[in-house]
Amino acid sequence: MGFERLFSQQNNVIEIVKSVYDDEQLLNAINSYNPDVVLINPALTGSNTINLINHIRRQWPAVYLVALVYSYVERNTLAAFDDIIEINDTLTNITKLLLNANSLQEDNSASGAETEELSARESDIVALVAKGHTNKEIADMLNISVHTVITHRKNISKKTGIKSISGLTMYAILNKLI
Amino acid sequence: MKITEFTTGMKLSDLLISNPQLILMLPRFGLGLGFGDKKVSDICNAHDVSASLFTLICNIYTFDNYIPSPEQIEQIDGDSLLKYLSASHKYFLEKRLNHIGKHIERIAAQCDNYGKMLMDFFTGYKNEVASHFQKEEINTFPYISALLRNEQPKDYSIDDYVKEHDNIEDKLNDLINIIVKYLPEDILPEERISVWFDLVQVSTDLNKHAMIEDTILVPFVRHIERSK
Repeated sequence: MGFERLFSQQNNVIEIVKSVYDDEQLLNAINSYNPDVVLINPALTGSNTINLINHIRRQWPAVYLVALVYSYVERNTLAAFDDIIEINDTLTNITKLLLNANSLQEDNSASGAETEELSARESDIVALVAKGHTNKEIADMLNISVHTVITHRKNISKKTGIKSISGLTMYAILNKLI
Repeated sequence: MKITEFTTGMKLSDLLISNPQLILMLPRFGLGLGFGDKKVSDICNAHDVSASLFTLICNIYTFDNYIPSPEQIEQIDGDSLLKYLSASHKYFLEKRLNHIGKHIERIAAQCDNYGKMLMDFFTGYKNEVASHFQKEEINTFPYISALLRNEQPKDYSIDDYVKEHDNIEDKLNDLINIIVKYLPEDILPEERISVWFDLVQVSTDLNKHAMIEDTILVPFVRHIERSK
């Protein structure tokens, strides 16, 4: 596959440990190689992509899942991934994304992001989520992109251990953020 | 890669020693206690339970990366699998969550300002779980039963199930965090420690339940769908 050639010509920062062609091979490969990042072309997993992703997340929560998109993929399916690579992304961007994914993982395990307190900005965002605002509204109010709001929300969940909106609302009230 | 796995020729008591959680499988399969030193196969046969399904499920519960082989999937007794899943649903809703609810009620009664909010959060979670199970009992299981009776049900397939199969684990994890980390220090610490164990246990149990649906139920039904 073109991807393997791309990376073999590059440096040795990113190594493709294994390419597989069906779901079962994929699960076996994750089990054997313990990869940092898994690239999945959603078109090749058929209609069970979300199921496959849920399964991987349950068994190997540390794996970073990236969609490799060659053709139209349903939004719900894409949302299940941690990140997306599109066919027309440049090699530099792809490399950056993959390295970033890898350092994200290391940050989590090494520096213990979950033990840190929320930053002032993150506290503001928790309060706005608790008040029922959508990510889009929060982005407009704080003058930042929706993407940044989503990143903040991911970090908030990592630090607090709380993901649901009703859970964050309780958190905000218990910590007197609203 | 299967390094170790349980087999039907092992003593049931040995399975329980290696993973005490497996005691929960007994009532779900209609197996009682007092089984002495009998083998899994003998106990299952005496109760008309599929011993291979029983060990398969015990394996998934015990070995984190256990992936059943296609042959194991093809040999599954579908009726027993559905019976097991329904019994699990009943156990979660009627036994575990009710028990946990009583703890939460006592804790909520001590929280002046947050009590109602805590109770609402738990009730919201419980309703979510109930409707998640209900969807399976109303749509998915009857569809699979019909397939097993060799009927050709229309307008449903296991793909619909996969699409609808939502995550019921997030809120439970939120609750675990709120109970221990975020409620004020002085509110019923002993009760909170006690319910914490219940919550963590039910969280593992639900996680494995979902894994059984992903790694056994879905591939099994796909196999029957393909063979039609």
